Amino acid sequence: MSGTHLILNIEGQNAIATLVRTSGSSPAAQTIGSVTNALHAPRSDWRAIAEQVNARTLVSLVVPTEWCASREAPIEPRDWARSENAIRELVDSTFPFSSSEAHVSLIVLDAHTTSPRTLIVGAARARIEPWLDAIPTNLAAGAIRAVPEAAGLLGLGAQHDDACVIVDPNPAVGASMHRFERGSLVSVGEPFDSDEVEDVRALGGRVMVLERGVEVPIAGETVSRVSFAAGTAMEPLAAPGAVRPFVGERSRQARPMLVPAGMLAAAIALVIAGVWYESQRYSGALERVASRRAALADSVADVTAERDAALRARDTLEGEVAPTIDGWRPILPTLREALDALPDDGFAYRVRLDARRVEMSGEAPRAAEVLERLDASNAFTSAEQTQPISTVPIRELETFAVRAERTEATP
Amino acid sequence: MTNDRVRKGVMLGVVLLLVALVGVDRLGLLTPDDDAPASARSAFLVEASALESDRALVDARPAWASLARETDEQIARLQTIALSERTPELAQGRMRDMVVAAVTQLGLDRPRTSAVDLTRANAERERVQIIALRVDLTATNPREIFSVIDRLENMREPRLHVASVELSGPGLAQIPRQVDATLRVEAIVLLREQNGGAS
Repeated sequence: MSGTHLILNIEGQNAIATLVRTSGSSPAAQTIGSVTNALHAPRSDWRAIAEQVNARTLVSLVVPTEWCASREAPIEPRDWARSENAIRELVDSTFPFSSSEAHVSLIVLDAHTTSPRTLIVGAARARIEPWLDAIPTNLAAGAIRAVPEAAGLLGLGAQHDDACVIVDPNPAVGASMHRFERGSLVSVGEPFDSDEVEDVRALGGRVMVLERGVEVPIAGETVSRVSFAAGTAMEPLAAPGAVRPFVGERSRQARPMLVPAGMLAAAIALVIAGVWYESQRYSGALERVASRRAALADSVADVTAERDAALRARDTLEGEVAPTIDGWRPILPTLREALDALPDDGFAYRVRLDARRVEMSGEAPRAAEVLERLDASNAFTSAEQTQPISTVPIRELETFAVRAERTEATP
Repeated sequence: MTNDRVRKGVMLGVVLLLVALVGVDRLGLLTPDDDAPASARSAFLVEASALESDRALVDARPAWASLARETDEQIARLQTIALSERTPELAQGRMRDMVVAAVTQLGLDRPRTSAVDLTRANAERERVQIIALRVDLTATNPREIFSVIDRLENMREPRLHVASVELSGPGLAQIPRQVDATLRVEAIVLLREQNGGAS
């Protein structure tokens, strides 16, 4: 976040202007002028300040502590809007002016605990409004707000310390001190007690002393007026939502769950987008691949036909034709050899010869001789009888039925 | 617990959720199942795989062309021993004529013939086929049958093969001095294309 912020401090009847330029979380502050008797000064007295201000400049009028009355109340910041009546009643009953005559500012105490409280700060309208009127009269400012001095405490960076005490030797109201614990402003305007300050220091806490132009009987980091003005400018950034000003909009309250929720949403969106993107990528790639396949379709059909024809021809040639031709041997010599197994006075009823075996039946003087001759032949092997031998008395011959395997038979 | 701690806890939870989501994504559990037909990824993988197959097929075209040339050459070498006809039936008829001529030229009666069904090689689209013929003939003695077989087996263009022989008689033939023979004769056929060119 960056911008220009004019802090207008009131000292008596005078206005002291500090210009704070913020860039990120680092402010650059500079006192750019002061106006004596500011409410009645001519515009020319404001010129040095007016030259540094434009319509984008936020002007914060810092209401002096001595103009204010304050009281703590157990009201949580989220209930501020609902508690207007209670706040008004509290102002009416405890402040030296009525709620209708006052501007009220609210500051969060114990912000980082489960039960934050509220510091109610009131200031008389009659004192603040002339200043609020003087600002647009003399400066071409943008937004204008009025905050109590205590708002500047929230911009000093004490949120980073376990414990911090800020000593304010304000001569107008007497020395007081403001305390931070574990990053939260826990008290404002306690009476100054050097022992308590030393206790904080002894426990490793931080001690700061506001520069007020008076001697302070305690050591600590000095916070110059300019630095405190810078703190006032940084308050909306350092403690957003912690202050409701007298006049002007409350800074946007921090939403601590916003970042985690955003991260969660981003993570889910990332995962969904990732799945979607992957799906889109695959869809696009699918279209490209499909178009490439379509372009190849004719070639694929041609090659497929060519391949199938070639494979079919090869299978036929190698699987059937070649083995068939290889087995083509003349059958006549083998047939002759089978018939030679018959003795001269024997004869055959039937002879069957194929590529594997011969089967023969007939009559012979001695059936076993047929079997012996077949077995002795080079053309046959494993000769065997296939039927019992019987005798034909009328011819004095024996019947035979034999079978033998061809020796050159193909498997 | 302070708001700050709650916020840190929630952010830690978010980080852990992110880690879990990344882990689940790395394991592929966020992407649809590969088997899901509607998945763009699975469809792409199927299509890409098919494209690779197509490319491999097209790239292999020279190899298939080479195989086709080799088979053509082998088929061409068969032309000297095969019957070249447009259809198996025409080849069968020509083979029958040759066998009948061989038998009758030897003075025997005209034989009875019938085609024999063969196996896969006779599928219609095969360019090279083996056909077979059953031949039933009658002679007065085995020597006449031997002559027929000898003549058939010594044909060269086209070449015929006598695959089996079955002789009956004359021992107990019903008709004296008669030998019945059944031959199975085979031949190779080259089918020509319809335009008449040898395939």
